[in-house]
Amino acid sequence: MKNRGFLGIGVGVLLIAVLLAIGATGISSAAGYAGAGPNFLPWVVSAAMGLLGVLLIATALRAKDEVIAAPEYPPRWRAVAWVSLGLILNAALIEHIGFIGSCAVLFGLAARGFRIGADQQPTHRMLGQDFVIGALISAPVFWLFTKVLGVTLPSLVKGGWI
Amino acid sequence: MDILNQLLHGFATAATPINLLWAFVGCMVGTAVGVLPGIGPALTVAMLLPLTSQVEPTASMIMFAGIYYGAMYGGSTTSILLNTPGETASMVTALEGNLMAKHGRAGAALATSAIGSFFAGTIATVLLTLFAPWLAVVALRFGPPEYFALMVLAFITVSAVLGASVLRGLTSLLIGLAIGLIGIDEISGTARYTLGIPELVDRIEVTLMAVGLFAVGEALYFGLFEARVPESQNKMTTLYMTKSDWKRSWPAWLRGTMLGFPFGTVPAGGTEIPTFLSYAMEKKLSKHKHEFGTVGAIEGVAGPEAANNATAAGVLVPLLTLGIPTSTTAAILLSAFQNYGITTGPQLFQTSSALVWALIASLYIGNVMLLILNLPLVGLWVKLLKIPRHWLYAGILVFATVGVYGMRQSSFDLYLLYGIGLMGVMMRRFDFPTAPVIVGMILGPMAEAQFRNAMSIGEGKLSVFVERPLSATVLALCVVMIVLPVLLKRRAKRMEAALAAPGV
Repeated sequence: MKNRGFLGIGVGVLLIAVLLAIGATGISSAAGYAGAGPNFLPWVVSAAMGLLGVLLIATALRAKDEVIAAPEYPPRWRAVAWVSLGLILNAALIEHIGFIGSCAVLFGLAARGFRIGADQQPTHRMLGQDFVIGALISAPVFWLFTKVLGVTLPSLVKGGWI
Repeated sequence: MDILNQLLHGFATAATPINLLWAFVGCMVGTAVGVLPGIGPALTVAMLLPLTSQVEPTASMIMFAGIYYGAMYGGSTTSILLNTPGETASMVTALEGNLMAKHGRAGAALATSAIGSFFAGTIATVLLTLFAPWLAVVALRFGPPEYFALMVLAFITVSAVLGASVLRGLTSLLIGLAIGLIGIDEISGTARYTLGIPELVDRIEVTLMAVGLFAVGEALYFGLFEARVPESQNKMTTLYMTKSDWKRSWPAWLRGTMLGFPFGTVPAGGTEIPTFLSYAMEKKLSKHKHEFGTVGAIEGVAGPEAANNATAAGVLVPLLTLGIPTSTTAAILLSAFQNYGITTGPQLFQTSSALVWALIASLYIGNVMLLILNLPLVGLWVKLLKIPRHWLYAGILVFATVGVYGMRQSSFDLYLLYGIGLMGVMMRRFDFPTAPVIVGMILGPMAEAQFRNAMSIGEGKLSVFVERPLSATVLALCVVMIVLPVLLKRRAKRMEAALAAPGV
């Protein structure tokens, strides 16, 4: 089975169509003069997605070769794991340790992931360096957006500089 | 004379020191993101949307326009000097530009693309100035059925015509439409698909979607597949253009402009088609055909680059006069207008005339700024290409956090951002276009409102769409645009099969 991923997308689209349809049954159909109420477009989108899902599945099953050729290099999941960890920690930490701290963590972990993706062997020293660079980039960004442009971002000390 | 008067008023607004500063910042940021790989104007404007809650509309729209134009200038620098184009729009420029750079003519290629961008950008802005107010007056007569038909046309062209596959393009569009369904229904106030989560009631922000797909998705894809691709950079040379370079460039600029602008104005956005057409045209008309594909022909850079910038200006015509975005960046600019509570559409020229004319005036000013920023200072921008990729992409993720968190101050959005990023990786891997998602989620609710208003006018009968000549014509065009490529492909396949059959 060459097109497992593509087939997966088809199944996913079909699944979304079903979920949209289930959701649509709970939406009011009060249409007034228009004859098309709030539930009209949800049904249309659900039906169209169902059709597209079936067509995607059919494409995946009928194709003898890969529908979309794989990239030149095999996937490197270890790189993605580090970047993902950075992104998730950022979401978890930002309201507790503030923007600068949590973005330094994000920057350090993501840079490590990208280094791994580029066939480098990142050392612990590099990781430490990247955390510092992350903080040095995040701090001016934080000050620019909060102090000059008035955008609200979380800080460790309420309303403070870090 | 009326237009000239209003334009002068626009210049008066745009030329105040503070607005000039915003335009300058926009042009700088735009050029930088155009040069940097992995980050484009749509993403940048999306990340800066939180500013709309703090900065006054004229200033921020002037800056966004600067970013939009600037990225078009900067993109060509990368595509000429690197072997990986920065924006899809500069893919064609890369064909000949890269060859020229490899043969020691990088400077001339950069010069013709910067001057060509200025030339095309300015002429296209003049056309926009003349054409847009007129179209806005015509469009005042459009009713909901016409708007609905035009929006459907925009959907179809963005998703089905531009991509490699109608099926995948439409799937992306439908995903966008489905996302647009989440939240409060505009007409009845009914909550849809909110699953009881309060964050979902006020819709999914376009910033979140654009940053998720373009920044996080792109970064994850880079780590997963692309970080190992070796990169080579061509050497910079003098910007001097010889007499023959000028002689070969200017007709190409002119032709590129004339080709690009109309393509931008019809709801068929995207710069791919006009730039490719311009390239093909230059190749056909050139007296130096042997240079194409070998040492690099300068008209092959000049034409597409001019077409690219003229298209960018053309896209603003339907955006400002009809409120219909035909590219991702235009869709995000539209949501910036929405954030300010400014209703886009033909009435924009009346209700927000000061803003619109200041915006148009700033395009003229921006083009001059960009020419200066990109010709003498090109060496500075080239240095940006030296930033190691692992830091560049990690930095993009930090800015993504600013945009998404700054919009709604919710860490829920940051988790959602990661999920959308994963979806972006999958779409990229299986070649599903991302532009239809963004256009679908912004234009979807607007199209739905127009549809239901039109149905009210027609007292619940669908015939309202075919009884009015304009909407009927546009809808017929939509059907043709979906069916035609499929038929053509089938015919091509049959012919191939016939040719491959034994005995022929």
